[in-house]
Formats: sequence, C-alpha cells, structure tokens
Amino acid sequence: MWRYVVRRLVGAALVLWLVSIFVFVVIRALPGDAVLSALTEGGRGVAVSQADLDAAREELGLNEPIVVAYLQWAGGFLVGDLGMSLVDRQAQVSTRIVKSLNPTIELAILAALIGLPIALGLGIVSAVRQDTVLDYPLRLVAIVGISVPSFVLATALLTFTSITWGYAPQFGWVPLWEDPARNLGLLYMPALILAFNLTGTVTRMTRSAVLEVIREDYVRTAHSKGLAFSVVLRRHILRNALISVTTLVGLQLAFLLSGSLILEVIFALPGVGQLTFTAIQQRDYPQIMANTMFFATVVVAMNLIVDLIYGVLDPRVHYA
Amino acid sequence: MAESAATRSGTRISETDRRERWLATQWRTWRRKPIGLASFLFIVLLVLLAIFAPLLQTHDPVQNSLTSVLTAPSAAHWFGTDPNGRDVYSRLIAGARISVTIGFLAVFISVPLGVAVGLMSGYFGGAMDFAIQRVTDAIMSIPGLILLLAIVSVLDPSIFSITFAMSIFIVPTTIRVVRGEVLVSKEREYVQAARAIGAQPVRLMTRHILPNVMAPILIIASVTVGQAILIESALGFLGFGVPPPDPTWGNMLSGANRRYMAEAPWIIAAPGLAITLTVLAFNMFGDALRDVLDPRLRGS
Repeated sequence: MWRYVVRRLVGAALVLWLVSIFVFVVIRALPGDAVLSALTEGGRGVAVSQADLDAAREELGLNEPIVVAYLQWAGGFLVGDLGMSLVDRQAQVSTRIVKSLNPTIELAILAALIGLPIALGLGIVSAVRQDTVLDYPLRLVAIVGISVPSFVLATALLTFTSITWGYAPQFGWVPLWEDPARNLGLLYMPALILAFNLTGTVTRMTRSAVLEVIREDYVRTAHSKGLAFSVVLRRHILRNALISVTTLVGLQLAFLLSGSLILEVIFALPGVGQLTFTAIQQRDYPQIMANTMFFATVVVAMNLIVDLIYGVLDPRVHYA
Repeated sequence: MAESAATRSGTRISETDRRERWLATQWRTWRRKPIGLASFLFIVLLVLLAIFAPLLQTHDPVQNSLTSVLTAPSAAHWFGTDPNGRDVYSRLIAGARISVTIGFLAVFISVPLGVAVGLMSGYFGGAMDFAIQRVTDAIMSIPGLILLLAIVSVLDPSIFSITFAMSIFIVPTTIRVVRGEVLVSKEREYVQAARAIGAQPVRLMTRHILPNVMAPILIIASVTVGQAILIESALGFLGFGVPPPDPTWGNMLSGANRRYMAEAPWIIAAPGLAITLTVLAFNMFGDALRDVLDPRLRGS
C-alpha cells in the first residue's frame, strides 16, 4: 500500500513538472515585446515608466535564456514563491490566489450539495427502470444537463427573471460569516446552474454504473434467493456501483473549481476563476502561470485521492 | 444476368450487394433510433447552413444600421435586430459558419493525429508509451477552458489560432481512448493470428486493430465537434473568440448585447438556442452512435 502511495506521489510530481514546462513554454512563446503590450494594453492604460518595464521584464525572466528563466521560476515554485503580479505590483501571485479561494470553493461545495444527491437519485431510478416511461425523460434531462452551456443558462435565467418579475439578482460577494443570508442570496443562482451541469454528468455516470452491476450474476442470485428488491438494491447493486461512481465524481469535483470560471465572471464573484480571467485580460503572465498550475495541481491531487479512496472502498483492489 | 446470379449463389458477394446490405442494416438500426436520426439530420442541416451561409443571409451580418436598432422579430428581420441594428438572423447564419468550421476543423486535425499516436502508443508500449502517457496526463490535468484562454491570450484570436489551441487538448483525449482500445484488441486471437503469419506492425495496426477501434473513435469525434463548438462559443462569450464585428454564437451573447436582454430577449434567445441545440445534437448523435456501433453498451 505505502509503496503504491509513494509511486503515485512520484507520478503526480512528474505530471505537474510536465505541466509547468508546458505552461512555461506556451507563455514564453509571446510574440514581440509582450511586456510592453502587457503593461500598456493590460487594462491600466497608463504611461509605463522605464523602471516598471525593466521590473516586468525581470519578473518574467525575459532577460534570461528560457532554460535559466524556467529554473528560476521552478526554484521559486518549490519554495512557494511564484513571483509578483504584473498588475498589482505589491502582491504575490500566490497571495492573490489564496485570497480568492473562498467564493470558488463555496460555489463548488454548494453546487455539489445540490447536484450530487439529485444526480445519484435520478441515475439510480433511471437505471433500475431502464427503458420505461420513467427512464426516457430522465435520460433527456441528463443529456440536456451536459449540453446546455452554463453561460447560456445563466443568460437565459437572468433574462427570464428580469422580464417576468422585473427582478435583477444582486452581483458581488459577501463572505458567509459576515452575512450568511446575503451570501446565499448572491450564490444561489450560479450554484444552481453549476449544479444543473453537474447533475447531467453524474446522472449519466450513475446510470451506466448501476446498469453494469445490475446484469451481474450475483445480482441475479440475490434476486432468485428471494431477497426483497430494496435489499438487493442496497446491498448488492449500490454497494458495487457506487464505487466507480465515486471515482468519476471525484474528478468532476476537481473540474467544478475551474468550471465555475464563466459563472464567476457573469455573477461578479471574486473567485479564482475570476482572478484567472482578469489576469488573462490584463496579460498578467506570472498570475496566469500560477493559476494554471493551481488548477492542474487540484486535478492531479484529486486524481490521487480518488484512486486511494477506491482502494479503501473496494477490498478487491490490491495495490501492487 | 447469368453471371450475376452465379455470383450471388456463390460464396463471393459482389461489391454492390455488400453495399446494399450495409445500407439496409444501417436503415434497420437507425429507424429504431429516432432521436439519433433527428440529431443527425440537424447536424446535416447545420453544415448546409454553414456552407451556404452567404446565400441564406437576408442582410449583411456586419452592417450597422441606425434606423433599425433593437427592432422586434418581423417579416423584414426574422429574429429581430441587435443594438447596432444588425439583422440577428443573418448574424446567426454567419456565426454558424464560423462555429461549424472551427468545430469540424479542430476534430479533423486532432482526431487523426490522436488516433495515430494512440495506435502507436498502445501497440508498441515501452518507454515511448510511458512518455506519451505522462504528457497526455499533464495536458489533461489543465482544465480545458483555462488552457485555451491562456493560449489564446498569447496568440491573437483567429479561426486558426483557436482551432490550433483546441487541438492541443482534443489530441490527448483521443490518444487516451484509442490507446485503451488498442491494449485490449491487440491481444485478440485474430491479431495474434495475423502476427503469426508474418503481418508487419503497420499492417496489423491499420488492417486488424484500427477497424475494431473505429467505433469509439467515431463516437469521440461526434461528441468532440459539439464540445469544440461549445468551447468556441464560451471563448467568444468571454471576449476571447474570433474578434468582432464578425459574428459568432458566443460573442452574440456577450458584452453589449447582454445589457439589452430584458428589452430585446430575441438577441439572446437566438444564439443561446443555437448553441444549446447544436451541442445537444452532437451529444445525442454520439449516444445513438454508441448504441448502434457497440451492441454491448446498448441502452447504457
């Protein structure tokens, strides 16, 4: 078991190392004197002093060959120093990420709390009642859930509420502990939209996982020895089906953090997605790099956690 | 006549016969898949719209007109006009051309590339496979939209840079799927048999393994076109897509238009429905394709 954990940790580190090279090369492939364009076009619209320009060039490592620049950046990364933001010259990019974690995490948790129970329920019903009048509408709901883009749904909901009730939801952010009611008032709409997309994906996953198990011999045996359906469902079908659902859901949760980018932009939530988007608009390259690494780390870590949990849930899995 | 009858009675089946049988089988299967068939027809319609876009437009999609700002749908402007007085219907058709081009182009470039790499990675294994797999792991752990935004912020947005950026993350997905299928099918008896009679790797891969991994490839291609169109519109929505005044479904939903959505919902409804229905069609077609091509998965 521990050997497996160590091996997976090494693998995860290797993947993150490749991500960092990839992102670094992409960002370094900037055409022309990108620093100047970064500072002038980057939303500030102010005259750029030579000192600012030099500082920015230094920050991006544009004065060094790419290998040296990468090593400097990677060295910083290892000790937790990802450099300073080009836009907010007083702030560490990592501090800015930490500051914007709250809305993103709360949105993801809220969406998961709303979406997962519904999705599991719908997926199970849809599989157990396969090819019945109950299954078809549920399948339709699920595929619509994965097909409607969150920004279309958000736009439609905002249009609908403002036309029918002349009601414009409020935008912005208040921390949960300052004013819980207002916090939920600001979050419920993006959370519902995110939950809708999540429900689509997870319902489909649950349905096919349950269908796979339902055809197993041990399920038929359980039925034929006269067990009540609810007992078979609980003890034989779900116990096995939910193992694979757990793995898939774990990865979904990692992508939930980044999936909220558009919603954070639309609903003016100051989360990591919003920060990334602004950084890209302002060409704040150290920030873009740090945020991309952040999202990749979350995905890789979630992958790892999910694989380890899988072993705990399924005693048949032996880590070699 | 006599000859053809002889061929039919014999074991050899003529080429036309085979084609007829294939068509008949397809028709029998698809007739039971009305949703899949409808999605397919929708996709065909969309491609035709994209090809004949200039002929179908009633107005110039980028021509501003101050005399017809935000007019409701009417005989002159089927889907109304936007804040610049441009005809929403014509912009929708012009946008279809850009979206469909990017969607199909991205898939036509990335999927064959991913298939080739995936075949080799799965077939040969070893150090090359390990290296390829770690690189795909790396790219797939960066969330798609963020990767795309980062790339498009470095390149200047155009149909080609967006297609290129999209390929970077479609290729790894394809590699992953193809490799998995190859690992299973390269151990099958008929592949072993072909190898035993001395078939070379290229022949084994193209004649024996590839046909058996076609089903997942077609499914992933169908779903990916939809995803590419979705992501292109997301980029457009965020202001990083094909630059204005060229209309795309994404940028029709963004910026200035959103300020008028309460008084003129048609400027939002048309592109929103277009994106949703298109993604839905590609997803449902992918589902139907999976049911038809892979009987083991039927209904799941």
